[in-house]
Amino acid sequence: MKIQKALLVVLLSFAIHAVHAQTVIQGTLIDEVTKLPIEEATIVVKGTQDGATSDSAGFYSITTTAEPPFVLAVYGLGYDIKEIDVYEVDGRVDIPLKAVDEDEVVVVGYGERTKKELIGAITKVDAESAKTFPVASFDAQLQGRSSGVQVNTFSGTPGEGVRVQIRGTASINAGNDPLYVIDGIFINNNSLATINLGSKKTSPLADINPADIESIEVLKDASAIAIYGSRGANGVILVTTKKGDYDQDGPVVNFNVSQGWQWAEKKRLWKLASGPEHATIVNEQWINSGNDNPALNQTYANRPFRPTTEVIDGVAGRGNPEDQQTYDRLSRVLRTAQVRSYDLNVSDGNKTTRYYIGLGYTKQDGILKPSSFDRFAVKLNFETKLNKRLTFGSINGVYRTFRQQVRGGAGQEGGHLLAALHAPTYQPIYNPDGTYARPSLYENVDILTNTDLYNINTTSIRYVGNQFLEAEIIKDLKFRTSFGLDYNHYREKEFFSDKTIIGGVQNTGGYRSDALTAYTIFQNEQTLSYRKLIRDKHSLSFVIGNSIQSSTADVTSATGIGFPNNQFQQISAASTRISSQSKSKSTLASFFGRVNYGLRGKYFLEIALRADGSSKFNAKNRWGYFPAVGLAWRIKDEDFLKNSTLFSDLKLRASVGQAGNQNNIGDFASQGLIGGNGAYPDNLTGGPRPGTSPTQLANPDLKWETTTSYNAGLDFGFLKNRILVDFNVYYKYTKDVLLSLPIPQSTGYTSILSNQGEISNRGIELGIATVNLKGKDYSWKTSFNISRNVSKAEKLVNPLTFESREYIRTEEGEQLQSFWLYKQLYVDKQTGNAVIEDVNGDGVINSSDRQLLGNLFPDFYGGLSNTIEYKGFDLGFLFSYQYGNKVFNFNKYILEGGGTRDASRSILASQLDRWTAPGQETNTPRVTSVGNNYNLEQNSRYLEDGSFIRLKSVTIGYTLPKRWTNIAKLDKVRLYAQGSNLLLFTKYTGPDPESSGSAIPNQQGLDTATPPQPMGFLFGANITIR
Amino acid sequence: MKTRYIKSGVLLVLFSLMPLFSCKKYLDVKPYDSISDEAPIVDKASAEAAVRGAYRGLASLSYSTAFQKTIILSAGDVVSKNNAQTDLNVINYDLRSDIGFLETFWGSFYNTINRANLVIDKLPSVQDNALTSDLKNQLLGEAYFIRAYSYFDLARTFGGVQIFLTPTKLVEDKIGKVKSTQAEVYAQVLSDLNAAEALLPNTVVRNRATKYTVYALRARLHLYTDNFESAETDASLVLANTANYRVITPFALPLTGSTESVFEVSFSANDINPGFALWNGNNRQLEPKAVLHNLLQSTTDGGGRKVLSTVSGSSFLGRIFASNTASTPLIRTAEIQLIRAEARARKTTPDLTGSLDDINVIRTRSAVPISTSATVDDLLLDIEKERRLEFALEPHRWFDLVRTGRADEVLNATDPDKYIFPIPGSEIRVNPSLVQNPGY
Repeated sequence: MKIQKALLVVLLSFAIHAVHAQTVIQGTLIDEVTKLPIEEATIVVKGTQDGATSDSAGFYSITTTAEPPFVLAVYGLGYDIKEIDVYEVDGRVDIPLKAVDEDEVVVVGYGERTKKELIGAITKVDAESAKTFPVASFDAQLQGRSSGVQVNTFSGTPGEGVRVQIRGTASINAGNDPLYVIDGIFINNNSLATINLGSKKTSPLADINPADIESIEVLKDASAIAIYGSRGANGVILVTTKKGDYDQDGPVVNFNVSQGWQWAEKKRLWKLASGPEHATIVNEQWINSGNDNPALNQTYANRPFRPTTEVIDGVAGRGNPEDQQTYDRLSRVLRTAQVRSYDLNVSDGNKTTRYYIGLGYTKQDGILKPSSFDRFAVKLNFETKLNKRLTFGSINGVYRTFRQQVRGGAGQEGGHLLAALHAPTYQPIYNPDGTYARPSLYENVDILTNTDLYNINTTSIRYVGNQFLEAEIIKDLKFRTSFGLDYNHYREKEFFSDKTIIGGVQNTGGYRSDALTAYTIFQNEQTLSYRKLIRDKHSLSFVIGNSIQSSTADVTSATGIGFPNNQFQQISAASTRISSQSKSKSTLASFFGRVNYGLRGKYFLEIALRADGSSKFNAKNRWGYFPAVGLAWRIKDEDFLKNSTLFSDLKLRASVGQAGNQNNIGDFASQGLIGGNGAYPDNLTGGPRPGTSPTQLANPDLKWETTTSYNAGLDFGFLKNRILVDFNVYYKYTKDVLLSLPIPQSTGYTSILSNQGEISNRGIELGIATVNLKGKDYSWKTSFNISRNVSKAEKLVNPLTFESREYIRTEEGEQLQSFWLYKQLYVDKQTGNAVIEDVNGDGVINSSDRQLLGNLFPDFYGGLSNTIEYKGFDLGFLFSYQYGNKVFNFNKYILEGGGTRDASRSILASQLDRWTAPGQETNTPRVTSVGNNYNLEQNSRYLEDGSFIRLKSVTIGYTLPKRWTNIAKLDKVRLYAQGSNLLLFTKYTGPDPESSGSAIPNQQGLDTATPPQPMGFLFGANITIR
Repeated sequence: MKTRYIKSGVLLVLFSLMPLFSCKKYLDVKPYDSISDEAPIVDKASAEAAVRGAYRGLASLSYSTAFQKTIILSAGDVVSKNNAQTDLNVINYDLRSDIGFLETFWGSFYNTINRANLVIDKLPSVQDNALTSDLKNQLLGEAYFIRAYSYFDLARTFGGVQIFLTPTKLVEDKIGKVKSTQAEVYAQVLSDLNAAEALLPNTVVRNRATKYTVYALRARLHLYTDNFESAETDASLVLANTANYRVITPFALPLTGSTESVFEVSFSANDINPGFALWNGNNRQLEPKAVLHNLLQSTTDGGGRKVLSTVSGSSFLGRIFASNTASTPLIRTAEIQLIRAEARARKTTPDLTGSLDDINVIRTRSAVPISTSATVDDLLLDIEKERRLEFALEPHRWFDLVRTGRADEVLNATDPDKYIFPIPGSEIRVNPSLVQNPGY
């Protein structure tokens, strides 16, 4: 009551204050370009009720009680929202407005374009709203934000690998990752991890601080990527960081702080059978198996869970099922994790110099103990005009990221999550004497989560920078030379104390290993560019250039085994010390050129050519030539549409071109190699002496993988561009696919890298952006995208299988990376046995009965986002979705093994649905170790529909009224709350349909060993000081 | 003013084009960690290194965890801790061609063979004064021995396989080659062993091949091909060197590095013994079954061999490797003794007392009562039992029971087709001329 009264007093005092003075503001609203008046636009004094609407002459007049300084906001249909700071009212205020879409600048390779003259299929991502999403790396923030870009986060551990694919999968072994270019530098996005992380990868993109990003452009079609030639076959993600503006009114300081919490959604987590249930299943399986195969000598009498007093062959029983305890390990490794982030940046510019300084600190704890990620980032961008013609620029980012790592992986080396999930629930965590118990295959969970005993961490120090000098030789002709460097000092440490399996059993006295990878990309480029508008009719521009680039990896590692005690952790104190060093390097030299011609602003032509020479190929196949041509026709500007009120934009685009790929192949892939890895002693007393062995078969004919792409696109704008639609159809055909071709192992080798096979990708993309409502102090915008891509192996000499159990297979005429499984048709009601489809009808179930049953690529995917603003409030939410993709529930395969894994693995509660009596209808067969019920690893029963709709993020923000913030001399204060992954709709029975135990190409889509992406909340404040 | 800018611009352009002139050099990058395979063996040092590499293949690839585990599991005396689905396929004698580890064995054997072939192909033409003809012969003989060992394992595991005697230069050379029969492969092994015998010195080096090593492997081969007279001869050639090859009383671990060992392979901290992790640590994959443990502990059966299995809580630990750098015994003196016992019992005119003596050499040193068997059948049962206990943790028994036709009776492995493993499906996929073994 008292508080309300007090509030009323405060509000009234404002009102009274406002009554005192009245100001009249008048002026005209005009189109910035056409200089025509704008009618029916709304203009308001921000933070007040005062406003007006412009008349047919564009005239407006507002009477306000507010005193300067205040902000005028103008909302015109089809125009960008404009805010103007008014410091004093002095006569008329004429306001030019910029039409939406007109002259929106899009960054392209080696240049910029207005959206109007754009030919390629390029999506500009809303970087501002994407980057608040609490994941470490900006690539993970792109899910659902652009058509044609499929983003999947494989794990809930911060800083781990993310899969980003633009327009499908064009390659098998040469990589499908897009090229990432940050301010002109081709940065490394391959994980540098050398230690065993169990098929997991760290993401080098997590080094980059998203807060420094100004814009992200996704280049998709041939015309857009051609200038990147061999680098761009999988699409290009262009990142531009903030640089400040020339002629700024003084420094702008931005401060952002956020704090949040994340956790795994409880009700989606795995449900395990209790100790008694586990024992019951194992006993049942034991006896059933004994009946099925008497030679196993398994009977009720010698069942494993029998009274402890019954000793058979010297082994006591484990106790009756009902005597078993249940131990919960998952809750010991999962936690509510904190995420926090602080960003401070300053930008300014005068006539000759502009700069941006960004400082950032992010810390994210993983929901899986003890994983964590933190990053310090310093960014300094600086540009100065040395004189009238010369401009020098310096772009620099220094990043330090630290990762407390968790191991992934299935099987016995399986790490943190599996130790909790796969350890049988009936087995205690501690022995009666208080020591760590380790009865199953796995390490004790309390050891794994104790970094004093078991510690894997990585520190990456990285510099990404580009220094350039630009000279305007004559008007419109610019020469630019740049030197770029991406240097990563990547330090990995592993320590396993003598209490652990690795440091105490496999090796004694503790184990410590350190690896230092120095990875350097050096890049030098020269470009000569020209841009000219001739008599308003012809526009001509060209760019030619060359680029050389080298990538060098130098890895030094040392291992120490056997320490005096746990206080000694440096390798110098170890009794056994092993060290290693290796180095690899590749180089690339390129020449490129591009010509653009525009006629009357209606017809546009673009021709590009790039030649790349790669050190990875033999001299005769070294050079690849990649041309492209693109056309665009702005139909809207034709006479018949010029006056259309329905169409505000209509453009037809088409392109065709080629791009190459050689990204992920070995640096010396074409050469026959002898390795020095065969040391062996000459006698019993001497130690090992050096030995050699053939390691790689030569393929002197190895050459570029080439993708030819065709793209046709239509851009529509309706109703003054309140509705913008972009539609693309594409077809990509890849020849000479770089393939690690399996060869007969009787050759002494397993594979040879060769150009075999052809792959096609075809798809359609649709993006719709609408302004649903827009008024004086409110707006509602929606953006929706949907994409479909089908990747098919058009030609392949032999089917390729992947993963040690050959779960994944690529076959000629079929979709890439399909799951290759035995199809379980049903469980026989009478016998309880699984009935497997006998495809060839020979009465035997063997590998010829395996079939392709779907793959991890969706039939379609996309996102839907909405932004609603009302007065100071803003609300945004993003749904991402995928339909038709399959997931192999590997955890289920292991944990629904019919009790055959006995004491080595836990059992899922769903196993309790097994067949037990004739007539019972179930999909879970009778438990037995004999026959096909549980012995077929690749059973389709574990393959599930991975379609999902995810509420990726919801953000609610409130921008404090200017008159409040002015008191504190702040320009803008926005408080916000964000929820991430709050809703997930899926039929998948595991926690997260996007999870993949492996981040290794061609081995993805098996869900194991990884925590789900967390759900969470965070709160933040965004403060701008001018 | 303007011309100055143009000048500097032109200079910049020219400067920037400089890298182009050295483009070819810039793009020629030589491997750092490897060398080209153009000239792999050119002198003494490279010849020695190549032979060591072949031994490393035999030690670390051919005797991989998977190979030892599968063969030992097949004999039914151990349990798999891991309980992988594929282990169930092994113990139920229900292998399929798409099981991953088959590919591993297959590829490993041939990888080692390719290393040996490289030496056999390149070494004879090497001219280096430091490379004496004795050393050259020795190295060549060792390569023949390693090849023989690998083909022997291939044949007893997969039956008839393709025989390749030259190193791979082109994949095409090896495609389309049809399988030889198991007998033909064994004949190739014999031929390689005979070649090795002529080349190798008459010395004793337990982790490298010598004449004695050749005799030992040839004795084993003769047993598999039912040439019992020859088996006896070769076994006797080894055992006659009592100073260097004799069993030691009492039975004690390790079984390597002493006169117990005819041929063993060595490991180090860099190349650790994969067998160690098979039996040791929480991640161990194999444990002796109670039945085996009890036999080993029995004073009338296992005797001194009880140290091979110890109790730890409610499970048993197999104790053949002391550490992950310990050697793996491949041919032991005890095996030669038992080979001779079997050869003497099974040859055309059996030497029953000689056979019994050989058996009792093993029994005596293990401190179990001597056998008094007097018939061939009884002697063979004695030998079967001795081999079961003596090589309780080594990959012998499965091959022995298959070889002697006893797998059905002892292991209930009823389908003889399953005595030979399936050729990996992945191998047939890429080499259609390879025919799958019957029954798969």
